[in-house]
Amino acid sequence: MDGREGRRRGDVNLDIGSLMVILLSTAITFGLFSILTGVDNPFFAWAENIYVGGAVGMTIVVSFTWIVSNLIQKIVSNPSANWPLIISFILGLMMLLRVHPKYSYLARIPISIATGVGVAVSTRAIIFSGLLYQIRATILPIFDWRDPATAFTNLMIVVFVITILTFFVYTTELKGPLKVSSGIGRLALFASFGALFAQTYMGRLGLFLGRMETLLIPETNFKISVIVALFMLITIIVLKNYYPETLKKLVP
Amino acid sequence: MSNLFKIFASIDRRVWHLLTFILVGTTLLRPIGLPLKVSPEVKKAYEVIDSLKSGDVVLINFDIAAFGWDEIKGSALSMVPHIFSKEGVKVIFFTDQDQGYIFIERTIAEIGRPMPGYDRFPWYEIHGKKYLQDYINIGFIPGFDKAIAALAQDFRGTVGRNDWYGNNIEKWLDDNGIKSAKDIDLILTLDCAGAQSYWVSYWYIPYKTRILNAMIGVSAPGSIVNYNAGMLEGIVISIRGAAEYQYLSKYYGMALVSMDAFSIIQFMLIIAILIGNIGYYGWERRQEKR
Repeated sequence: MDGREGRRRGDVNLDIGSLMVILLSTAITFGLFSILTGVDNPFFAWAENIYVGGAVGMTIVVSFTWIVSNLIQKIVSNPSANWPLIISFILGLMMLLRVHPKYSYLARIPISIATGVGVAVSTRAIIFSGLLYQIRATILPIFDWRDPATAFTNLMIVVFVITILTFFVYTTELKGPLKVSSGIGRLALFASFGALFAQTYMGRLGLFLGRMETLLIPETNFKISVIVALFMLITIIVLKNYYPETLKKLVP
Repeated sequence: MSNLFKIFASIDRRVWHLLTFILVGTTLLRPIGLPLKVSPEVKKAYEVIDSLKSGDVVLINFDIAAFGWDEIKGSALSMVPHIFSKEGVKVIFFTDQDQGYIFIERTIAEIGRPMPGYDRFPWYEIHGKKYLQDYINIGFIPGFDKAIAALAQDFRGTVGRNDWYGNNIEKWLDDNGIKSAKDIDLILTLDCAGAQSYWVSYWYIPYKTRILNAMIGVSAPGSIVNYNAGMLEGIVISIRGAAEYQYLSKYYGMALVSMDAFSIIQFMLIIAILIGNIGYYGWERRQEKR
């Protein structure tokens, strides 16, 4: 039996450390969900601060470790061979001067270099991936009706690309066929906004479902989740109805 | 009738929140088994992995942060073992996110087991493939898009001599003939932050490297556009796509079980939109006109 099967059955032996991790992650999740009660509460503030602090702390530690192992160690071990890294290191330090009021202007140098490099690296690729390949994808056969479903889809793509493009014509007054085309394009845009909203909703639902799965399965997680959720809900209700002043003080 | 409209218009949003929790909870714990249809883009992704040959090198990018793990793990826990099940295929794990190495290790721990005589990372065996023999983990390289571009430009120089754990990987790279980006046969990018566009820009455009993409739902529109343009070989969208992939690859997991909850909540949303609109036009709008 592999770990996954065991987890599904809920018969994995958990030590105190693992239980504490589950308890903490469950408390943070329900703390963040607690805002859905419509009450500004200390659980939400606590969970929000822990999440932000934890993420920033993690980034600092990982980045620092990487800088030490890939930059400083290389410079120290062989400075003459790795001289470009010394320049990178100095530029990196200059970036930190943003927080110093007197020398903050020096941070502009590494920022402008990073911007310039970023634009230079991405421009060529974006011309292909963001423009040429996308245009090529809209040049489709629309008169080949051996496969009616594909032909109809191709026709829709071609028609809507053209009509939506006419909707964005601002340099001339829209009259006659151009106005009709622009109107169709406008409707097509609304339909695509609806599809995008549905896609976004599905995405958020996917995140929620994934988290709920971890909270409810296996049985140990389910029990912890029920206890934590009830504790938070009852505390919020009691604080809101009987100790509103305390609630105000507890929320930063 | 107007009373009914008034009730519809004044349903507390917390009722919908509670209903969502109850419906998701009950369907996750007691699945009903609603039918599932496999979409062509997931089938293509499956076929690409299934057709991997001995000697092929696959680079798996974990563009994963904590917020998206629960959604993407269904794809990770079915696509990665599928790759590892292919005989003679070599794998390189990489992450462009600072939190990503945690999820590489979680995935390896879920699908593999410690190699005999070892009890810690990176010494794990997955489907008989051993660390530093069949796969390596180069871990996190900062810079996001710049890191991906740098890997394409100078693969060996960017990777360096050591893996994420400090083991020398030069011999492994030499033995498998990996000198530059051209030697990578397939990229699988598991995305929470839309890294696929950079893989397309810096790997597909210049080298025509085949790319598969599994992503969380909010990143889907960008991936769909690039898939339709032929720049991605296959895409696996959110939990829905993961469920389809689990069904095809027979690595059954929670994504399949989640599909019932997914469908039921979507029905609930449709009903909520209908009720909200009936309430609005039947009550609120009339009140505004008065």
